[in-house]
Amino acid sequence: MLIIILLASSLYARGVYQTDKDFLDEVYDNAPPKSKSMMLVGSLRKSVEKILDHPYGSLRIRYWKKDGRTAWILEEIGKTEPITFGIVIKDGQIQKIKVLEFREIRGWEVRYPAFTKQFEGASLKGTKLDRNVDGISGATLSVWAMTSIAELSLFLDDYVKNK
Amino acid sequence: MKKIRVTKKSINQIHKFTGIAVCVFLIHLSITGIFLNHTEDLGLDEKYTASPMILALYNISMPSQNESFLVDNIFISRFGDQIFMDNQPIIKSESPIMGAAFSNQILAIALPNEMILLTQEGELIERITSSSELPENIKKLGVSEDILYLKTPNQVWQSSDQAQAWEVSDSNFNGWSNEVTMPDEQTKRIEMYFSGKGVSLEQFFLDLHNGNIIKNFGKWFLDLIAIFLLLLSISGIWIWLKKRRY
Repeated sequence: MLIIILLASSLYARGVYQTDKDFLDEVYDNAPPKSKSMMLVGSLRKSVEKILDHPYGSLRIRYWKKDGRTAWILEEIGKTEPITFGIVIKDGQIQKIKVLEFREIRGWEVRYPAFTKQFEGASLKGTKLDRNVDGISGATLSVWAMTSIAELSLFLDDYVKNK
Repeated sequence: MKKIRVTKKSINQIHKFTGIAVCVFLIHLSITGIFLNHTEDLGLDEKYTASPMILALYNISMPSQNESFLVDNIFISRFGDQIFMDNQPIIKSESPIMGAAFSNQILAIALPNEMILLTQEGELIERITSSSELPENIKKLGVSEDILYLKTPNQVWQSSDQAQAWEVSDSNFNGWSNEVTMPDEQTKRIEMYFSGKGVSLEQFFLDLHNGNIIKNFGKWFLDLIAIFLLLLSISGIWIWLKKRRY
């Protein structure tokens, strides 16, 4: 019975929590701006690789910018599958971070607002977050993935600001 | 309590029954054993079988072949949920491929609500969805003079900036990419991705010999045969001793 309950809860945890479109509608009050994109080439690619400890999954990253806020939809591997995150940044600080799609069997607890709240207001200190993020037992890789993506989005936000 | 009496007749029956039962197994053990004894002479370690029945015993299965398109002599195909660029696995998708085209040295693969952009080497550039202004419910994809065209149920769309922005097209474009039948040779190359060379005959005979071919059941089956062999030996000795006494 315990196995069935655990299996059911892990299956329930996998899936799309919010579509990209719904996330952008929520962030920009149903009027998202047109997307912009950047190619990860040259020194930018190297910097991104340094933050993640591996190359990013694609060569082009898309973002949205309006009212001084940038929104990013980025992916990072948890254990074996990519987790899709939605991040909003304002004034160099994380305003919101959410799990949009979770494909792993374990580690889905990172979706809970009680956990993501730790990232709100976080900014970059060098290439790392300015604070320690408390982990979740059994979700270490997902926590690492979210932390890396938080750092990456702050770095990219700074990059587009100074471009 | 009723006493169990061991009679000559019952021992004879046990000996007869276990003898017949293990006989079949011993024949199997002998034949597979001979093959294993001469593995190198027969070249069994270099021969492979890709029989679907045998591969199924090893939980190796070939996913169904779905769509395939030919773009600039490159086959774009989907087997199960895996998309291939020739023999190279590039990305997973449960949605069908609606079209594929090369534009500005970028390979575009259209799914109903997504577009995958790849370099010529198969490196992912981007997965574009409707949140990035991609039209939804894509039916077809084509290219002409480096302009990408999309067909949705009611409109034709075009993009001249590597699928970053789409606008309604008023052209009479009709050069849509169409599905093709993949040659058997190419299909076999992709099958190799899932099954490798197959299972070596040496491994197959070894697993037949030690019962691993039927997984855990094989272990229990061998235990049963071992018990039968013990009963056969004990009953045999018992019968021999009785005959000597009389």
